[in-house]
Amino acid sequence: MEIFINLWNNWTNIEKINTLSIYLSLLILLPLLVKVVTKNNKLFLFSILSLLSSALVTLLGITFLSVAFNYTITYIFLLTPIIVIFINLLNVGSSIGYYQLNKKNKNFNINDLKREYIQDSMYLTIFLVLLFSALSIFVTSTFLVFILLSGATSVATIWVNYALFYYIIK
Amino acid sequence: MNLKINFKIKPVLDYILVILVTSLAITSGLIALPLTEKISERTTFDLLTKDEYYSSAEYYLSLETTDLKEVEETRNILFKRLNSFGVEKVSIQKIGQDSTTTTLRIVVNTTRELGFVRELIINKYDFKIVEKKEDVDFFENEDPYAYLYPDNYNDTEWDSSNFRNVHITELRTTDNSYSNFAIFKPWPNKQTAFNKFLDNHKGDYVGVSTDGSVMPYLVPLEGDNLFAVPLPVEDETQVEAISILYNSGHIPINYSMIEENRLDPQTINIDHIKISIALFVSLILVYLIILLTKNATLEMLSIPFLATLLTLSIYISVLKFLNIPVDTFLLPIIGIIIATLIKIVSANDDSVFYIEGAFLVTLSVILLFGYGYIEILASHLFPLIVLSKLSLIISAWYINKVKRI
Repeated sequence: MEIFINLWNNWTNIEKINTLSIYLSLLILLPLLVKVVTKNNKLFLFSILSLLSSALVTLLGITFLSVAFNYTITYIFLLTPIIVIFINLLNVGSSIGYYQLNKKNKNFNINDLKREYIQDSMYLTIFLVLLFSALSIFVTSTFLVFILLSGATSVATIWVNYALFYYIIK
Repeated sequence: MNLKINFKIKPVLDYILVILVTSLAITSGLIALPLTEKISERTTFDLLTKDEYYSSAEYYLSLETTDLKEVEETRNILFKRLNSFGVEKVSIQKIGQDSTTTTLRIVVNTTRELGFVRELIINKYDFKIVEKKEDVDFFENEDPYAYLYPDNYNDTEWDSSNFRNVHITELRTTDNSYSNFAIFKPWPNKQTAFNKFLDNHKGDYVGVSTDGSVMPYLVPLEGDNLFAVPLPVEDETQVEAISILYNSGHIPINYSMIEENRLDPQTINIDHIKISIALFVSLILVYLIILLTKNATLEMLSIPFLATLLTLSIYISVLKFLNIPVDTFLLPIIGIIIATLIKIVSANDDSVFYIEGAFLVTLSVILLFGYGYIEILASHLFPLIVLSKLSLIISAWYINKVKRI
């Protein structure tokens, strides 16, 4: 936790306010969009929890890297949460689209949505693992660590999302 | 005997369009390829990377205060100035405090000129409007520079807190040339009082005193009350810096620079040639593995693959054409996000609108509140999201047409 405390103490108020504004705005706007589009409370709750869990996974990943490997976290790692947010959007967005398309079908079942969600999560995981792995062959040093951390936290976010989806969407 | 020519225009147009799209794709692909600049001497297609233009410095400031609020306000304004100027990485740390002063350490890592960065840091740029003393006559004074000395002016009630904005722009001068002017715009509730102030000083000298040095202004006898003070600067970057200094806020305390040192620039050095090849090879490997493991058919993969190549090729071609400098470490991040977006969106037709909408909302929020590399990344991604959508549409149409041919 020391790295985050040091980071917080070294930031100016503008940096703190702007950073908080980015993440709070996304935490409010994106679930609100889900609620407006789907009018489904469970999907709304799922979207909030997925964003919070992705933040937690990212923080844990950075802390683990710093504590376990005694690695100096540099400015480039501020981009990891942004990459994770985009991957999260892809993961959650594909289920929202499927739900919107099929919710009015007579035969639509929540299990169909779960099946579609796990399928999309698998495809996304395979694609990300292959892409991050292939790219990591060609980079070294700080950037390699950044790529590996971003890839790992992105994949972890997808499967934490799946666990949340499984328990919330019934 | 009548010969009826049955000529259908649509297939011909389709063929022409297919040829045009193929040419565009090949051209942008060739331009985007690394080392293209070595093929032709007539044009330079170098990717302008920022890596070798970075420089770094640290500045130690001694603030004449120990009040936490004043220190934080000073840090905020200095950060605001440097961020507005486009300094990529700024760190302003409070490193020491005694009974009367607080020491700040400012570290910058940037491609902007350090000379201007220094000016943004060391200048308080506290301005106020002053009026000429009644007993002073600039024309009968022996010293031709008397109109520049602050001693020849009295303070007025008008200072930086009364003005909402100082807008610097080029205006036409009396000899029909153009010159830079600083237009001081008061708050709406102060406009009437300021107009009255100018009316009371028509034909007389007032001045803008900035950190003790005065810019004189002869209030015209006629004309609207536009307080436009001529600025003796021509350089664009200087104008930009002065505009930032005027509009970044009022630093409440006095301070001085006690030390400055140049540092080694902190850059993540990535060979852009290697990374371009790496991204291309990675994409081919990924799509090949997906195809070989039969997770998708060739038809399902060809559209997103072509769209990804088209998007990234056009992006890099535009960077090269317009000589837009880019941080090389952002390229693989952009590549990963765009490649993943295109793949997922192409496999989920029902979710295109929601995913791309969410992306644009997210990027808008980041552009609004972001700073440093986060803002730079978002500014590159925003047009790419739109371009990726167009590339998907073009790729789907193209493959459909080529199949028919």
